[in-house]
Amino acid sequence: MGLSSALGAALSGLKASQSGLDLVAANVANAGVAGYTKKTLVTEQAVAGGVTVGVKADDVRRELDVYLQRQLRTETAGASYATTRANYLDRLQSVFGTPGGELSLDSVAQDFAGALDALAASPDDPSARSNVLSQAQIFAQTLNGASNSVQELRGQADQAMSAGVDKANEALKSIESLTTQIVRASAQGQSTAALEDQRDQAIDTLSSLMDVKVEDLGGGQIRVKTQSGLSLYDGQASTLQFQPSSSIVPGARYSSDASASSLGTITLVRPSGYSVDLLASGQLRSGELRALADLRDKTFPQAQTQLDELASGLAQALGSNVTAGSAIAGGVDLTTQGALSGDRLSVAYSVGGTTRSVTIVNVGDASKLPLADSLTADPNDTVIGIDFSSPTAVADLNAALAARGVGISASASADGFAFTSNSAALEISGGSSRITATALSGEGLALPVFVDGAGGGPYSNSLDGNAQRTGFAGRIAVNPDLLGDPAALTAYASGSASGDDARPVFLRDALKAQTSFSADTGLGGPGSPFTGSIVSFASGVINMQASASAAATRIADGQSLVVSALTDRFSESSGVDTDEEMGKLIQLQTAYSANARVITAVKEMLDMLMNV
Amino acid sequence: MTSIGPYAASGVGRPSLVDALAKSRSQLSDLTQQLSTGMVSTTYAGLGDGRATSLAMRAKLATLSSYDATAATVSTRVSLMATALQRLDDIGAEYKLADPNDFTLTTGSVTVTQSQAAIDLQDAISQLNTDVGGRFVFSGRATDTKPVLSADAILSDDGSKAGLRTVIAERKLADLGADGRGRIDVSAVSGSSFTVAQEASGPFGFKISSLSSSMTNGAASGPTGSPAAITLGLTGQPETGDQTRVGLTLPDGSTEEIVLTVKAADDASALAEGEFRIGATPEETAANMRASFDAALRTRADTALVAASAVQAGEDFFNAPPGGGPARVAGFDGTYASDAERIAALQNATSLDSTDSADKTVSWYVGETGTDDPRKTAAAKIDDGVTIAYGARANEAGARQVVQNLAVFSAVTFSADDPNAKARYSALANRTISALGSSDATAAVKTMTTDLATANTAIKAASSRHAAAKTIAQDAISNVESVDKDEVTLRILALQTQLQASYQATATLKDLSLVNFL
Repeated sequence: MGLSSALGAALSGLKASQSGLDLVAANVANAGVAGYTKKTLVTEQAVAGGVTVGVKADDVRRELDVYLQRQLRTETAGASYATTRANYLDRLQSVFGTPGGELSLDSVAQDFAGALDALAASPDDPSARSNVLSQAQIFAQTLNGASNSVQELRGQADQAMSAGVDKANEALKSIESLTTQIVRASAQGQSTAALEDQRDQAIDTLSSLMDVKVEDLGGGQIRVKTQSGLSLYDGQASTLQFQPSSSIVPGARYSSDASASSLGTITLVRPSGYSVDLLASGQLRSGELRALADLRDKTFPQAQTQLDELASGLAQALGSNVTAGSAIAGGVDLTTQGALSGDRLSVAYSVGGTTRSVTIVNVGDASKLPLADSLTADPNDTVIGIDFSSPTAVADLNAALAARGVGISASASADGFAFTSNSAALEISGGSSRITATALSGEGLALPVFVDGAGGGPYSNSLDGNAQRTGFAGRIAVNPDLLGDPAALTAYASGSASGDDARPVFLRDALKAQTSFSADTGLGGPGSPFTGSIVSFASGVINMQASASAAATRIADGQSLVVSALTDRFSESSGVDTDEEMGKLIQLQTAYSANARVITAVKEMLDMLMNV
Repeated sequence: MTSIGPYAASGVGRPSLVDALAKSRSQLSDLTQQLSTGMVSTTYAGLGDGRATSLAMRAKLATLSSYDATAATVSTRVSLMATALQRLDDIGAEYKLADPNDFTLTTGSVTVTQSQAAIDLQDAISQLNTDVGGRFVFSGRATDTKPVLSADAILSDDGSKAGLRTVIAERKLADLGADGRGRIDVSAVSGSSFTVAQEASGPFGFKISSLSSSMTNGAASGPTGSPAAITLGLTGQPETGDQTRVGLTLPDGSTEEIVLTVKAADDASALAEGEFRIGATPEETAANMRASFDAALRTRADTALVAASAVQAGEDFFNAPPGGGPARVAGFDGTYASDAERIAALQNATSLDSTDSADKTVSWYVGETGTDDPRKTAAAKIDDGVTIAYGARANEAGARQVVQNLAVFSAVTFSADDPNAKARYSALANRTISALGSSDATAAVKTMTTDLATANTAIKAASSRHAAAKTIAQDAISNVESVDKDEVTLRILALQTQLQASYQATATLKDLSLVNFL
């Protein structure tokens, strides 16, 4: 062993210190960079002929706990889902109302009820009448506004889905190109740490959008899958496709059946050309995209349904006459005079001690038949749909009654249908017709205060076509004829006295009457629908939305706490600790000067040799 | 925390520390907001479990406010209605003290009391025409219609429509008949008796109701038959002071009695009504008796019957059935060649007719009519399940009687030259005074007042219930929505201390880097 070998070892030591210093500098510089993991230098002794001849920098290692990373990613997807949902629901609940807010749904409903109270006390007072109309307009406009806001939120969710899909595609592309580089570098024995950091970051981005898991295939190659097992990257990146809607209307619905869906879905397209609908197949289970899809397709449509049901209940309570049928031998005779599509007859009967009823709905659109019993809130109700005006109405009705096993037969009567019992065991106890009023006077006490759209079409909750209730909250308007003739608020027939409070009292009581609201609003269940006044339904809707928002916020807070704790632990192992780096710096400095000292000594020794 | 941020293994960059500090800060800003707004949260979600209470209590408050607004509106109406009815009651009471015999005519051919009645009539009408904010409260459901015509419009004809004066005059003709005997025929004396028979006059004129005789040798029989008739006469000479009494019923239901009293042949004093002298023969006495009866009958017809006729005409005029016209003397709407013919037709009328009379008669009450309870014409819901009925119609019994009696009383005129004028006035005044002062009329007005007072009591009771309920609801809302400023201030202080300490620690932590010591 000679001086030159000592010099060589010292030089290799200098070089290793240099590399170490580089890493320290890089670590400190990148301490604040997202996704940067602490790098350490792996050094090993250089051995030649069984003798240590120096040191060599072997590899740059990333300090990474892959199990922790996997857990962090899963939780991030969950947190992202919860936070997105909480954000949107917070905005949604303020659409319905704020405590003491002038334009909260419950406030406007109460103000309208108050205006009707005042009108009932002073039916002849023009200012009471115009107050009823202006409160009705505020109510209608509030419903319109809320409906628009809900659809706007839906549109934003749709846009956010589009942006999310773009982001996911970008991440997948990065994963693809980075993996290619990593594989190449790895084959050439180069350090892949920095590239892997970048790739991990792309995967992190992806994991906040959707629930993914990563499989390490070795040699730098990975496979990215959804948690459900659908592969997103496997050597080549798949593409997500999404068609955002330019504007979203209440009638637009997402359906897992692509032909019936009017909203875009997220499709995964493999490079092979194979494609799968991620929303329909349920492959997307968490992450921001799932949250947005849920909001767009379930939460917001339900909020819209609540508004629609409120508007529908309001229009129908005030605008339809319920006429009790006239009793005939063994049954009841119900009128269908002036029935619009959606108007219905109801026959109550008892059989074997159980009270049951059958509801016959006027349906002009044969494609909607047969109707489901769940159409009405009462679980003991059989629902039948026929076209009242059809020439074969009676035959259709009898066929439907027989098909549903209701022992009642129908026949045409002077102004409607007569229903009689088929057997002594079945006793018809009564019946009523609910007919929508269309004129301001001469059609009973009901008044079409609210109509469908500015054109003033009557609202009869028709089931034909794209059911009239859908999006009604966005279209509900005060009857323009009524605005032109406020006196009709009291004048229900020609010659009725100006101070006659019959109609205002009817309207007031109709607004406060206990009615059942459809179970598809999410309030109450199918067996026990929400029952209450219009005002209490409005309050119920606000309460439901507020508690949904509060719950979502709680979940999001909890989830973010989990992520925060995991991040802490992850940081502990993978984060840059400046103190540690400084410590290393001192070590490296010392090593450097020691190596330099060795070189100086060798030089001095060589000089001494030269001067001998 | 939606994305995986930079990792810092220690020191100030630790994610959880950053998080904790951010959370404390946002808590501080929440508390500051609470302090400045005084509210727990500006959203229902932020109210937590209290939101159900908040929503329910807000609904409760809105309902209560609405009830209170209604109660306030109705309360004003009810008070003014009560004031109007009180005045009607007072007007009626004034006549209790009037003197029916004070026949002092003024320039308008009416007495002083009558001209006062004309003023009181206007007063009563204006009370019934009370409007509260444009709403006529005695008009039933037709609250935009002034319910009662002016006094002048009621009394006078209006084109082809007959006013009260005409109706009274027509009835007078029918009641008196052509000969002024109140539709009673008095036969000539045949032998020593004569018959007194009602004409087949329907509702008009006198009706013979009773006959009693304590006359020696008197022949009095009846009343028998239909129309009723009586026979009066003598079978021999009566004794001085003997009496025969003939009871007559008048159209308004009142009764008159003609008392025939025997006077001695040599009694030279003037014969009072119903007195007759004993003649030479029973036949002659009977003739005296007939003459005395006939004169008394004519006097009674011209006084009591005319007064009763006017009162009954007023009853028919004012108390028309809902939706129908008043009952008028048949033939009122006939076509006549001359006035004399019309008078003759009316004098011989035998029935009342209300066909088409609505079109031919002034309708004093033009508000809404109906057979239902007038109270039900206006109702207000002042609490859950509490509805008060406070409607009224000016043609309700109590109010109508006041207007009717004052109108009839002031419609009849008198002439100073008429010898029967004073007695007729007295008969009319007596009837008016007794009708206005009767417990019937007072009770009818009082019933209306009582109903309204009940409504007012219900309103007051509801209002005090509401005040209590409102306080409870407001308390509940403030418990849920309002923050305790002291508590918030304390929490802010605590948070401030905590934040300061955290910052201090963070600052120290920041300095505790090896970098600073190299």
